[in-house]
Amino acid sequence: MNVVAVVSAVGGAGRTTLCGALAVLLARRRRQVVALELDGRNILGTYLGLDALPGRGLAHALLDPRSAWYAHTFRSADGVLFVPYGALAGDQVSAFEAKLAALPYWLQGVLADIDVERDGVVLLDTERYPSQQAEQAIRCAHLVLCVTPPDPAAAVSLAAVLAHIRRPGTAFYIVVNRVNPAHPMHGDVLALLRARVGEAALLPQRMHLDEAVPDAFARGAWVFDDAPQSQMSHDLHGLANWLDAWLVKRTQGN
Amino acid sequence: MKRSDSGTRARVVTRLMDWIALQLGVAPARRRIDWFIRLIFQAPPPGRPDIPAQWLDAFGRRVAAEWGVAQGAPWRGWLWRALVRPGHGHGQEQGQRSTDVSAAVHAAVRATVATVLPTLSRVCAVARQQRHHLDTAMSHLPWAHWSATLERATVAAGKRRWLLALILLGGGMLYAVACTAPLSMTGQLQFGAVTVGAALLIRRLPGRFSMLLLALLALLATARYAWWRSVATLDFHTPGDMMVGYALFVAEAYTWLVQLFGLVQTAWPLKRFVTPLPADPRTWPTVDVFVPTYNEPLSVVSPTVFAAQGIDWPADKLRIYLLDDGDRPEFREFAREAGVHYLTREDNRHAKAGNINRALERTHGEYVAIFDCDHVPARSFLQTTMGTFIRDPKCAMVQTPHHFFSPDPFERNLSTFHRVPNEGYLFYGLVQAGNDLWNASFFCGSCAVIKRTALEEVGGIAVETVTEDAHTALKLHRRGYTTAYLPTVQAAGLATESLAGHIKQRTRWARGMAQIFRIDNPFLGRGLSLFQRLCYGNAMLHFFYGIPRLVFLTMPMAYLFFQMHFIHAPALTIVSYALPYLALANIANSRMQGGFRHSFWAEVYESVLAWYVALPTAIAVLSPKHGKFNVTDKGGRIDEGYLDWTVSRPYILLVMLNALALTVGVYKLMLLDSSEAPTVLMNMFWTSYNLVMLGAALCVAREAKQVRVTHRIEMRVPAILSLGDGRMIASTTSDYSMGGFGLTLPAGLNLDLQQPMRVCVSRGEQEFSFPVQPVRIEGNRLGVRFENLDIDAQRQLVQCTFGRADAWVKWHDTEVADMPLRGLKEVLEVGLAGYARLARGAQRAMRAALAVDRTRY
Repeated sequence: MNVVAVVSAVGGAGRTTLCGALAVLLARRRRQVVALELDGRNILGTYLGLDALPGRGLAHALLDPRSAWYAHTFRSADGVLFVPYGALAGDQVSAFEAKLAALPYWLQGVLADIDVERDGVVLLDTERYPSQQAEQAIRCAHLVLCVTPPDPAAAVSLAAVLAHIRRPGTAFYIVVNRVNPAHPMHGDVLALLRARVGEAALLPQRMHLDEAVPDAFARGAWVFDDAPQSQMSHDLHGLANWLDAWLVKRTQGN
Repeated sequence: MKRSDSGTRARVVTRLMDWIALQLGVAPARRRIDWFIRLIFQAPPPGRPDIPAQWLDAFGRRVAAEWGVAQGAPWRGWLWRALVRPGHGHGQEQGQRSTDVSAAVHAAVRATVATVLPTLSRVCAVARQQRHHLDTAMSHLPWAHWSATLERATVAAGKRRWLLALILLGGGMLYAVACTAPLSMTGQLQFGAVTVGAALLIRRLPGRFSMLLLALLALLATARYAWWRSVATLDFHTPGDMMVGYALFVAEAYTWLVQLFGLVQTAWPLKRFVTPLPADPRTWPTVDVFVPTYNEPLSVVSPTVFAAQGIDWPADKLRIYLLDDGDRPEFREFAREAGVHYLTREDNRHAKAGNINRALERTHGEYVAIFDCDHVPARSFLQTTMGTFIRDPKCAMVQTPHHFFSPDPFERNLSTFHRVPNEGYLFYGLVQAGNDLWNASFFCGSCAVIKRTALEEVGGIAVETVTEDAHTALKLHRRGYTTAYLPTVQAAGLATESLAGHIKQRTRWARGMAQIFRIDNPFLGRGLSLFQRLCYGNAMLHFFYGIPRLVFLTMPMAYLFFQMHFIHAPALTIVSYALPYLALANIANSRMQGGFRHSFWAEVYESVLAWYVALPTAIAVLSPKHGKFNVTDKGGRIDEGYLDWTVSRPYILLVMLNALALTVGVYKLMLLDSSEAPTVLMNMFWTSYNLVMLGAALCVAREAKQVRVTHRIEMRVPAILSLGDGRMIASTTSDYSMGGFGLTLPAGLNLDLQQPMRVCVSRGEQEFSFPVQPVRIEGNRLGVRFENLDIDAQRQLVQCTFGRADAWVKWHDTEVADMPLRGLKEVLEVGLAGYARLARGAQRAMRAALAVDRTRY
C-alpha cells in the first residue's frame, strides 16, 4: 500500500480537484485506488460522481464508536473506493478535532483496516495545514504532495510551514496549481519558490488556470473527458503519469 | 469441266490452307489477322491463353471504339474510318471532311498512345523492378563486413613500419606506371570501364577507407588524363590553335590542381566534439559579445541583441556591445532600453574591421565573440565553444557554422529549399571540418570567438584586404596559434535576398581572397605548415574559377566557328580518356561530398558567378587596391516575380553564342564530310552541356515572388493557446517568425477569431505569454500575429524561438541523399526551366514595350 497525502498551506489551492483527478486517472491506469477524504468541505464525492453530499462518513465513525466507517463507502464508476468525510454540524467539528488530537494514530488504524494491494494507492485529501487532519495524514503518508497557487501570499504561507510539512523519510513534492503565464508575477513567484525549496522538490509538471475545469465540473464530468484538448487535461495526465512512475519505482524498490 | 476444275481447285486450296493452319496452330475458325499473329508469335500450348492474340484483339477493339468502326467490319471500313469521322446519322460527312481528317488523326494518335503508353510503362516498370532486384541482391552482400576487414587490414599494415614503407613505395611505383602508360583507344576504354566498374562496387562499401580508395581511383584517372594531355595533345599547327589550346590546357590544369588540393583538404574531416567546461563557473573567463552594424534596420539587429542577452553564461562575465558605425539615435535608445552597451566611433575607416578594432581598444573581456548583426545566436553558443579554449591554451579562435534560415537566391528561385543542400553547406559541413584536421580552419567573420590577447598580437582584425576575416586567421596561424571549428550550428541568419546581392557578396569574397593571395601568399612566408599552406591555398585558388569557367563555356565555339583545333587528338581518343576521368571524379565526389552538395550543382553555382568573378579576381591579383566593381542591386521586397535582366545579360549573351554554335554544328554535320563528324558531335555535346548550365543560371536570375516580409521558420514545441473566456487549449507550434506564430490546434475546436488571445511557450522552466491576434484559420491550422510586443516581450520571444539550443538541429533531415545521375537530371530540368522562364520574361517585356507604344496615339 502506498499512501499519498495531498496537502496545502492555503485554502482554495485545488487539493480536492487534484486528489479526485489523480484517483480517477490512476484507477484508469489499472491501479487499485482508495480516495479518503479528510476535508471538512466534504465535496470530493461530487467530483467522483455522487449526486449528493454524503451524510455520514469517517468523521461520524470517530465521533460515534457504534458506527463503522466502512459502512459508508462508495465505489465510483472507474473503480475508486471512496471513503467520505461526512457532513458535520458546527459543534461537532470541534469535538472531532479534539478527538483527533487525542488519538494521534487513529488514521493509521483506519488505513491498516483497508485491504489494498502492494501497488495500490491511498489518496488522502486533507484540510488546510495547520490542522489535525493534515498532521495525521502527513504522519501516515509515504508521499506528501503539497499544492500551492503561485501568488505571493500563498508562497509566504507555504514558506512559513515548510519545515513542518517536510518530514524525514517521507517523499515531498510541491505541485504548483492555477498558473497563468500571462501574469509575469507567477513566473517570479515560481523562481522564488525554486530558490527556497530547491530544484528537486518542485515538480516540473505545472497545473494551469483553465476555465475548462469548473466548466466540466458544472457539467458533471471530468475535464479530461469533457474537454480533452484543454491544457489542464494534459497537465493532469502528466501529473498522473509522474505519480504512476513514482509508485512503480517505490514498489520495485521495496 | 471448268466448274468442276474450279471446284476441285477450291477444294485443294482449302485443304492446303487447312493443313498449313494445322502446322502453324491457327484455329479452324480463323480470320486473316490470325495468320498474321501466327506468323510472328508461336502458338500457345493447349489450354493456355493466346496472349498476343488477346492483346491485338484488345488493341483492335480499342481503336475500333475510338474510331467508331463496327465490329467485324472489312478492311475497307477501317480505311474509311481512318479518314472520315463517323457522322451524326444525317449524312454530314461531306462538309466535315477537312476537319474530320485532323480530328481523325488526332484520335488515331490518341488511340495509339493510349495503348502504347501502358505497354511502355509496363516495360519501364519491369526494367525498374529488375534493377531493384539487382540492387537488393547486391545489398545482401556483406559490404559492412568487408569494409571492416579492409579497415583492420589497413590499420594492421600501417602498424608495421617496414610493411607500410614497402606498400607505399610499391604502390607509388605502380601508380606512376598506371598514370603514364600509353594505351590504344580501345585499351584506354577497357581500362576506363574496369576502373569505373571497380568504383561502382567500391562505393557500396561503407566507411572512410573505401572513400579514400575511390579518391585514389579518381586521382588515377585524373593523372592519366593530365599526363596524356600534357604529353600527347599539345601539338598545335597554327598560332590561333596554340592560343586556344594552351588556354584550355591551363584552365584544365587549374581544375586538376584544385581537385588535388581539395582532395587532401577534405579526405578526412575532423569531427570535433564539444569540450565540456570545468564544473565551477567562477573559473570561466569573461566574454565580450560584439554586434557590429552599419546601416541595417533595427528590426534586423534587435533579435541578435536579445538572443545574445539570452546566452547561458554567468551574468557578471558576459558583456554585450552594440557597435554602431552609423551613429543612429534610435540604436542608442534601443541599447539603453535593452540594457546593452553602445559603442560608436568618430569615423568609418575600414568598415567592419575598423569598427571592431576600435571597440577592442575600449573593452576588456578575455574573449571576444563576434556576430554579424543578423546572425541570431543560440543560448548554448558559449557553453559549446569556450571549452575548447580552456583545454587548448594555444587556441586562438573557435568558429561555428554560418547557418541561414531563409532560402538563398538559388534555393528560392529554383525551389530547392530543404531538398538540396545549399551552397554554403559544403564549406561549413565538409571543407572547414577538413581544414580543422590540419589546423587551418579560418575565421569567417561571424559566429566565432577569438582570444583577445592573440587578436591584439596580430594587430586586431586585418584591414589590408576586403576579406578581413580569412586574413586575420592567416596572421594568427603564422604566429603559431591554433584554431578550431565546431560543426554544430549555434547561430542562424538571413541569406542574401536577391541574386544581385548574392553576386555582390561573392565577388567581394573572391576579390578579397585574390588580394590575400597577392599580398600575403600562404605558400610563401613563414609560420605555416605544409598542409596549412595547402588548405589556405586551396581556399584562395577556389575563387579563381572565373576565367577557367568562362574558357569552358566558350571553348567549343572556337572549333565550331573558327575551325580551331584546341586538342591535337581524335575525338574518340579524347572521349576515351575524358569519360572515365569525369565518371570517376563524379563518383568520388558524390561519395565524399554527396551529403553536403549534390552532384553537378557546383557547376551551376560556378556558371552563375563566373562572369562576375573573373575580372575582379584577375585585377585584384595584379593590383590589389583596384578591381572594385559595382553590381546594381534592385533590392527590397518584390511583389511579383521578375527576371533580373541586368544580372542575366552575360548569360543571355553566352546562350546566344552557344546556340549559334550549335546551329553551325548542325550545319557542318549535314553538309561537310564525315571524317570531322565525331569532333563536331563532341563539340556540339559540349555546347549543349554549356547551354544547360547557362539555362540553370537564367533560371536563378528570375527572382521568385516573395510573399512574406518576415521569414517563417519551422518549429514544433508545445504551446498553450489562452482564450479570452479563460480556457487554455493545448496545442503545438508549427512555425514562427518575428511577426507571429503558426499553431496546430486539436481537432473539433470552435474558435471565435474576434476575441483576444495569448500564446504561451516555454523556455526551460519559464513560460512566456504573448498577446496575439488571430489572422487566419484553415482546418486545424491557426495563424496568429503578435500585437504590440514591448521590449521585454520581444526579448522573451527571441529567446523562446531563435535562441533555443536545439533550434537548428534537425535542419538537414529533409534533404534527399545524393545520386550523381539524379543530380544531373535535376540540373537538366533546371536548365530547361531557365529557358522557359527566359521566353516568358521576353514575352512579357515585349508586350510591355508594345503597350507603351500604343499609348502614344
